[in-house]
Amino acid sequence: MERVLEYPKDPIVTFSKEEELWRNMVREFCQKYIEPKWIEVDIEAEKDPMNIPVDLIKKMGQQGLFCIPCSEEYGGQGGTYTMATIATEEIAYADPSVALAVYALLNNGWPYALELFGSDEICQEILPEVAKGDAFFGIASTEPQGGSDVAGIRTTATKKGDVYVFNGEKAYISGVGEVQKLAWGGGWFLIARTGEAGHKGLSAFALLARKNGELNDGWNPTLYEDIGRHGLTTGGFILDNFELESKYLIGEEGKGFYHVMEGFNLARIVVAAATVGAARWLLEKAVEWFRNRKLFGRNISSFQGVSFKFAELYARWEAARYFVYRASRLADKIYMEKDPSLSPKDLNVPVALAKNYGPETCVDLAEEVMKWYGAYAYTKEAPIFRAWLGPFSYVIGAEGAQNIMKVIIARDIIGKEFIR
Amino acid sequence: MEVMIYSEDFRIFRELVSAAESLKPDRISAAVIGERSFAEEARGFCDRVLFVESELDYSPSEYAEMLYQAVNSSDPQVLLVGGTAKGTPVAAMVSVMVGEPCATEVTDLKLTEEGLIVKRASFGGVAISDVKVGKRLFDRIASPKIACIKPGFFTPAEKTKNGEIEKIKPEVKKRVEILEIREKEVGEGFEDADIIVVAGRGVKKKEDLSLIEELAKLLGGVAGVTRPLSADLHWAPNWIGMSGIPVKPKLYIGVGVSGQIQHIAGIRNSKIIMAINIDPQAPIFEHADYGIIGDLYKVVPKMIEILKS
Amino acid sequence: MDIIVCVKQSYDVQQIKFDPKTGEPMLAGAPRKMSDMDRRALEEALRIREKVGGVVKTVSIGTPDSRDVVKEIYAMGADEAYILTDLKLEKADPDVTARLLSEMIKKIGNYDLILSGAASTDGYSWQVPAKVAAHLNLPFLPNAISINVNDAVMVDCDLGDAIYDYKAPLPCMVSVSLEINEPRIPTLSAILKASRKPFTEFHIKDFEVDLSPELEVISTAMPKVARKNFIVDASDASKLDEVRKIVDELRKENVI
Repeated sequence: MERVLEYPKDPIVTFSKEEELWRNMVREFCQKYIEPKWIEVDIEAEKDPMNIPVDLIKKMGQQGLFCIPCSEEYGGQGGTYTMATIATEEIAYADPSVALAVYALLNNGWPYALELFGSDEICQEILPEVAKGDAFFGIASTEPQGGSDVAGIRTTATKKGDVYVFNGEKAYISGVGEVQKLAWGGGWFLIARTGEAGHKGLSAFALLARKNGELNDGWNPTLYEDIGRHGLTTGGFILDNFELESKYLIGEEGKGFYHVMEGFNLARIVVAAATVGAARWLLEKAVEWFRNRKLFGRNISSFQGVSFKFAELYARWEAARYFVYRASRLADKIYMEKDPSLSPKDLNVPVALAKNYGPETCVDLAEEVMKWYGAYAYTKEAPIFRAWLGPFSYVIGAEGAQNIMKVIIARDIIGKEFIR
Repeated sequence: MEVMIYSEDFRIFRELVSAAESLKPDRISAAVIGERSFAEEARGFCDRVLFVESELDYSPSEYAEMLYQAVNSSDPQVLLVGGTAKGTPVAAMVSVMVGEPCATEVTDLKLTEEGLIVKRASFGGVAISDVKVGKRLFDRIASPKIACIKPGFFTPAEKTKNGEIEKIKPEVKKRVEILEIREKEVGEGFEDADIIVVAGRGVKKKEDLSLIEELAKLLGGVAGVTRPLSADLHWAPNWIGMSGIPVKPKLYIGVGVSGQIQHIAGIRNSKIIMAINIDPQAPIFEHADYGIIGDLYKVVPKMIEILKS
Repeated sequence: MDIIVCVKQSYDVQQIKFDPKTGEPMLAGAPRKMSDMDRRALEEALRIREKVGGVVKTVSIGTPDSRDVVKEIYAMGADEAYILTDLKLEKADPDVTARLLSEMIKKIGNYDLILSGAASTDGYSWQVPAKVAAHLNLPFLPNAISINVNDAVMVDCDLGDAIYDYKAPLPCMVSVSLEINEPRIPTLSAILKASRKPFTEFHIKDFEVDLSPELEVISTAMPKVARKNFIVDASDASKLDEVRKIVDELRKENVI
C-alpha cells in the first residue's frame, strides 16, 4: 500500500536492521488482518462490549505480538522493549481507535513486569498463555475512590496459611471481559494492601480471575460501556474473600508499590507509542484531504490558517515520537543491557514526557482533523472520530493522569522538597 | 530484413503481423508449431510459414527447442513472440539458445540506426521504458533480437498475402508429461469491444453488477470489473487493468472505479475515458475526459433512462 | 529433497515516487522488499521441506543494499543463503541475472528442484526462471499454482487459457505464481535468530560472466495522456439532470 507520509529519517533515534524488518513484518500483518477489520470491531463491540475480537487476538498471538520483550522460555519473543514499542505504534496506526493496540501494549508491558519481579514458577504458568493470545494479563491498581493515589489503595490481601484472602473493589480495569472470554483466562498485576497504611504496606500479585478455563470463586465482575476504543473491555470487580495461593505474590511483600511504579513506567512508554501510531494515521488522513479537497477553487491547505496549524501539530507529533523512542531505548539499556550507569528511576522523566505529550498531541490532532474535514467528520461514516475517542482515554487518565505526569517531571527536575 | 513471428493464439498472431509490419521488413515469416490448420491460415498473413510438425503438448522447454529449429531454418533478424503465459517462457529460452537478448511486456517497437528500440511496461505497468535490444546490430545468421509483444496493443492485421509453407520436423525429446488440461472459467472477451463499462469497488454487491451490464448492453458494449472485484471478491474470472487485461476501446466508462495506478495504466490508450464516482477526489477524474460526481446507484439508472428515451 | 530458490530483493513498486516534472521514477533510497512471487516460491519450498524433509537453499544477486534480503530469507526459515552483490549489477538485465544465478547454482550443486517467482515485483520480465532453466538444461514449468513432490514432481500451471497439470522428472525448474500460497510472516524471534545465522557470499570474480547488459534502458517515465476533464456534479438528487450533459457530449464525440 502506498504510504502518504514517509517515516522520518532520523539519525538520533535509529533502528537496527532487525527492528526495521520487524516493523515491516508487523505492518504487513496489520495491513492484512487489522486494517480491514478495525472499524467493524469498533462497531460490533459498541453494541455489546463482550463482542471481543477473540480470533484476531489469537492471530496476533500466533504472530508473536504479545510478550515481545519476554524470554523465549516463557513463550516470549526474546526481543527488546523497543521492539514492543514498534509493534504497538504500528498496530495503532492500523487500528487508530487503539483498542487492539491497547490490548497489545498491556500484554507486552505487564507480562514483562511480571517477568522482571515474579517467580519462575508463575511466569512458566501464565506467560506462555498470554503470548499465544489465550490469556490476558494487565494491570489492576485503580479503585473506585480514585486511581492516581496508589499509596491509598484499600483492597486488602490477608495471608492465611498458604493463601492470601482478598477483599475490596477495583474499578476502571482493562480486560475484565477478556479474562472471561479468552480460552485460558488471565488476570492482572494487582496491587493490594498486606500491611500498614501508605505505600510501604502494598504488595503486588498475579491475580488470576480465571485459569485453564475455570473461573475462580469470589471474583465478581461488572462491565462498563465505554465511549470509544470498543473491542477492549473496561470494567470493575469486587473481591469477596477471593483466595490466591501465596506463590502468586510478585516479588517481596511490601515492595508492591515499587514494582508497580516500574511497571507503570514500562507500560506508559507503549501507551504513548499507541497514540503516536494513531496520530500518524490522523496526519495521513489530513494530508490526503489537503491534497484533494478544494475550497473556493483552492486546496484548503493553501490557507495558512490550516497549513500552519498542521505544521504545529506535525512538529508535536515528531516530538512525541522522539520522546517515545528515547524512553524505550532507555528502558532497553536499564532492563535488557543492565547498564550499570543507569537505574530504573532514570526512566521517570523521559517516560512522563512521552506519556504527557503523546496522548494530548493525538487528541488535539484528531480534533483539528475533524474540523478540517468539516461536516463529514461528524457523521459516523467518516472514521476520524474513532481515532479521537479511543486515544482520549489516555488524556483522561488511564495508565496515569496527565497531571501526575507533570508532578513526576516537576518533582524529579525541581526536587521533591521544593514542590510540596 | 526478415521478421519472424510466433504465437500459439491466432488473434495475437494477427497482432504480431501488425507489429512486424510496423518495422517495414522485406519479408515476414511465421513459425507455427503442431497445428496444421493454424499454419494454413497463417499463409494469408505472411510470406513464409515454417510449420513445425509435432505431436508434443505444450511445455516451454520442448516448444523452445522447436521454435529454435524454425529460427535456424530461416534467417530472421527480429523474432516477435506473443507475450502470453505460454509464449514468454518459450521466447526467453530461445533467447538463451540463440545468444541474443529478449525484451518482454513490449507495447511498441521501432527500428533505428541504433538497432531495435522497444517500449515496455515497467514497474508493473506504472511506467513505460524505452529499451534498446542488443548491443550489436544484426551480425550473425539466424540470431534474432527477440521481443514479446503484450497482447492488446497492436490492431490485428487482415489477410493480404499468400505465403508458402515449409515443413520441418525436428527431433525433440519429450521431457515432461501432461496429465490433465483443465478448462478455466473464461471471462468476457474485451479485445473487439468498442465500448467497455467497468465496475469498481463502488459497486457494493455482486447482484448490482447487473446494473453495469444493463448499461453496457444498452450501449452495445461489454461489462468488466477491476482487480479487487475479480481477484479478491471473485465476482468475475478476469479484470481490466495492466495486471489483467489491458484495453483500448473507443469509450471506457468506469463506474465506482477509484483509479488505482495499475488500472489506469491498463486503460490509458482508450480514446475517451468517462468516470462515475461519488468521491470528487477519486484519482480517475484526473485521467477522464468526462466525469460525473455522484452516487452510481442514482447516476447509472438516470443514464439508462436518458439513453432509452 | 534439495531445493534451491531464486530470491530477489525488489523495489517496493507501490512506494516508488515519480518525479512530477520528468515522470521518472525516483529510486534513490526507495524502499525495498523481497519480491512477492519469490517469497511465495520460498514459502512453497519450506512447505515441501516440512512435508518430505530436505534442505532449502536460496540464491540471490543484486546491488550491495540488497544484502538485507538474507535476514528475511532466514527469518522465513531457509537453511542456507547464498548471495552475490556488486554495484556493477545495478543495470543487470534478465540475461546477466539468469547467467549469474545459474553459475551460482552450478557451484552449489546438488539440487532436485529449483523454484523461483514467475516474475519480480519491479522488473516484471517473466524471463529469468526460463533462462536459468535453459542454462542448466532443465525441464521448465512456469506459473505454478500448486506443486506436489514424490519421486517426480506434479505441477499445476496456470497458462492463461487453461490449467495444465504436468508431471516432470527431477531435477527440474518451476516458477510460481502469486496464487500458489499465502506466505508466512516471520515472528520476531525468527528474525532475531536469523540475524545471527551466517550466509555465503559469492563474488563477481568467481564467475566468467559478461556483466554488460544487452538490454539497455534508455529512459523510464510515467506516461501522461492529455484528457478533457469535463466533470459535472450530480451528487445531489436535484442536480441529477447534469448527467444529460455528459450523454450529450458522448453523442457529439460519436462514441455512442
